[in-house]
Amino acid sequence: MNCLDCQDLLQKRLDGDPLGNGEALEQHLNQCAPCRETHAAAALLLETLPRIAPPGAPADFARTVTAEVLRDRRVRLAKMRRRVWVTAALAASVLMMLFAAYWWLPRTAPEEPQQPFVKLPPKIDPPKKILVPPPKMPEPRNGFASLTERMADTTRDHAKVVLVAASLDGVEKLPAVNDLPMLDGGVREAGQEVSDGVRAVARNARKALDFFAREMPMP
Amino acid sequence: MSAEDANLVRRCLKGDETAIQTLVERFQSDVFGLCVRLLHHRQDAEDVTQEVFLRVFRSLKRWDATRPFKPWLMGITVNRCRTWLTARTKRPELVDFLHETEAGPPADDSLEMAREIQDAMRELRWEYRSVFVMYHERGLPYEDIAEAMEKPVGTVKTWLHRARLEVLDRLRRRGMISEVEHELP
Repeated sequence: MNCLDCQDLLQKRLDGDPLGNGEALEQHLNQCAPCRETHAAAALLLETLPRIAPPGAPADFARTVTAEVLRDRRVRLAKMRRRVWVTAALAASVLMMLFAAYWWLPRTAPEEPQQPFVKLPPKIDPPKKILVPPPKMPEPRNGFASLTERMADTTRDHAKVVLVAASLDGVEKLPAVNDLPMLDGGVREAGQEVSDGVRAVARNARKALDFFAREMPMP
Repeated sequence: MSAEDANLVRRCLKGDETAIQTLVERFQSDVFGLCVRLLHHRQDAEDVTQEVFLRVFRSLKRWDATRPFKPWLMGITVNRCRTWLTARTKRPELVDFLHETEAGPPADDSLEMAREIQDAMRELRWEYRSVFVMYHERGLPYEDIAEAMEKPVGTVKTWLHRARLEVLDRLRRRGMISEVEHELP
């Protein structure tokens, strides 16, 4: 038997179990001083432990504890009852509110348009395209007509001068240019007038073309 | 659990004052004794014992009637003592443990040896001390201790064996062993 076996037997001894191998244990204890001391201590422990008086509770401790238990029980019951009442009252309140809402509130409330959470700026319509009425045709037409009439008048006047000159018999009979009644302004002046008339015609024609080019819609 | 205990618990659940007092009287020595050994303070032990019984009666409805009552009760006691000790270490105060834990004189002149054993028990680790007291002083079997400690039986056996060796080692170191005391039973 070695010391480990001896310790196992020691635990058995302290457990109160019977020791099977008593002779071998006795032999080991005679040879091993530490094991012998340990077993001696175990014997002393087993002998002393039953003699140690267990701590006793104070007198009337059971009655005190019982009173405390009953008081705690009453407090918990009261708390539980109060909790039940509060819960029931809350439930009744909710039910009453639901009934009141059912009877007193209108069945179908007018639906209000939902307001957006973010206010958007008011919508601004894009500026309408102003339609310009097409130009009236009489205006350039009248311009053309008056210009043509004026050119015709000037041309007729000049033609009269030329016809008068052509109807004369001789050159000598031809009056001096300056003497011609219809040539008060001279030929140069007539030429200048023709030129002015043509310029006026050209200017008016250009204006008319610009007008048409500006106002008439392009395809 | 015996039919008598089950009947007692049923009466306690109905609020029978006599039944409550009977139950307290039946188990108060176990609870109070374990509290004194674990806390080493009589006043604290009284407070914790009262608290243990309050908790027991509060949770009596949840107790499984098919299982023994005492391990369940001792388990609550151990847990409350541990909680109490944890709280006490956070508020250290001067306590005369020897004076407070003195539980009356032993039956004979082995006063010194009894005190040595109690001091040795006080130096044990929490788990070792719990199983040592429950086994050697309260007489609970391994299975009940395991249920109270919520540990396997093997763990409880290991703890108890180590606790014994530490107690015996202390007794040897303190010179309490004489050569003639190793005789086998």
